[in-house]
Amino acid sequence: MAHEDYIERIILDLLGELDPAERGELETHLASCAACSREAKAWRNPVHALAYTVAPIAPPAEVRAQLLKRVAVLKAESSTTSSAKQANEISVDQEKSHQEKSNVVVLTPRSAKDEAVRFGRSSFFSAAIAAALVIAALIISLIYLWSRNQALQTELAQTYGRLSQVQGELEQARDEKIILTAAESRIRVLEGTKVAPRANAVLSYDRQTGRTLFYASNLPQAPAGKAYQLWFIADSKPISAGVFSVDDAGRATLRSQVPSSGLNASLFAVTLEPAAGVSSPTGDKYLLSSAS
Amino acid sequence: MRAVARGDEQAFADLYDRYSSILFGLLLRILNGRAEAEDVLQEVFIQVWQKAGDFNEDRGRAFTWLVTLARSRAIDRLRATESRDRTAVRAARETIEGEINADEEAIRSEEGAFVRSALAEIPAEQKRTLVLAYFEGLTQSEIASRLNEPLGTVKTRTRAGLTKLRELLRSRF
Repeated sequence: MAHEDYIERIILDLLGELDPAERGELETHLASCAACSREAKAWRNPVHALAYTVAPIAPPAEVRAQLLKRVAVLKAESSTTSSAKQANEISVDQEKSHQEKSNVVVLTPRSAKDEAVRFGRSSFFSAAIAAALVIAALIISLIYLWSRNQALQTELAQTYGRLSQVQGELEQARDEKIILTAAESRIRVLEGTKVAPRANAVLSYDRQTGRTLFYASNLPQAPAGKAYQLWFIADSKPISAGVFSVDDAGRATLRSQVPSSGLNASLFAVTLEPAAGVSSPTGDKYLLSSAS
Repeated sequence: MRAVARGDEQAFADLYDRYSSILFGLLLRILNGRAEAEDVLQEVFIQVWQKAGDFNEDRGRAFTWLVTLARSRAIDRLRATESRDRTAVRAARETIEGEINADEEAIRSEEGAFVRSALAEIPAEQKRTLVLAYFEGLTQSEIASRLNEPLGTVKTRTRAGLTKLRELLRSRF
């Protein structure tokens, strides 16, 4: 469209005759056309110059009074709660309808003060209600948060428990790996004796650190008050590597530490001893390493 | 205006005191009754209070902004409440020339006087279309049917009248 056509639209727009679609189209054009934009500015004053031809007529005083009151309410609205706002609007509307009914409005200082006091009192009352509601809401939130906190604490404790359990399992797994892969580790097989012919076991130990890993299966349940004990026999001297018991399936796992005196053992055995263990084997042998 | 945008109630009251009479006069000229004019005057100033932040000096003078708001609301109210067939009351208002020229109480400011004298220099037909458009809120087509003139003629006269006014006012504004 040529700019000439836009001038007509600009004038119609200033007269308020464009519909929203036409208006939008014009504004889009003005945004990108400096010449037409200048034109639009230049036509503003001539169009509204007509407003200068009317006689100024003073509006009634109560219009000013009502207006200023409404503005004060609008201003207060932006910083109070909705219940206070409703109370104010009601009181302003009441005053407005009261004034509309009377023919002559006489604003003496005393009645203005009364209105101000009524206004002030009702706004104080509603502000108090608003404050009470806010406090009640806060208390309810507080109670809810406290009980939620309790629940979370319990959950947390459970989680810690599980966490340390898992950490324990992880450490064991690490140990096992270390023991089995360490350069100085040894693996021995133990076989069941006459009293437990089907029993067997695998022993792995680290000759550097003494860390010991022992798995046994098919061992009979130990009688009450008794437990199995693992021995490292070095230079014909038995050194204890720990006490263990078997589960319902006859399996046992022992992770322990053997003293350095047992590290160059060539013979390994498992005997049945009193539950607390002994310093020297006394009971029957259940597992024995094959001669190396 | 910036003070009003900031929420300065006193500045707002000052604005009202300065412009309310002009705007009320305009509203009375456009609308049918006093009660309506009072309502719209309040609405306009409430809108001023709420939208003072939108006013940009770049876009024109405060007076023009206020007048635009007032006229716009008045015309909207007019279109909403009046029937399309204008009543005899409005027809009686059409002693347009007489109103403009004989009005001794028109804005006594220098600007007001200047505008009135400028308008006096515009041919009567052009002035008539402008007044009908501005104060009656008639669209160009409505003016055409009211005056029983072709639409093209109305458009030409509107444009010519405003162009003349623009030239005359150029030195002033």
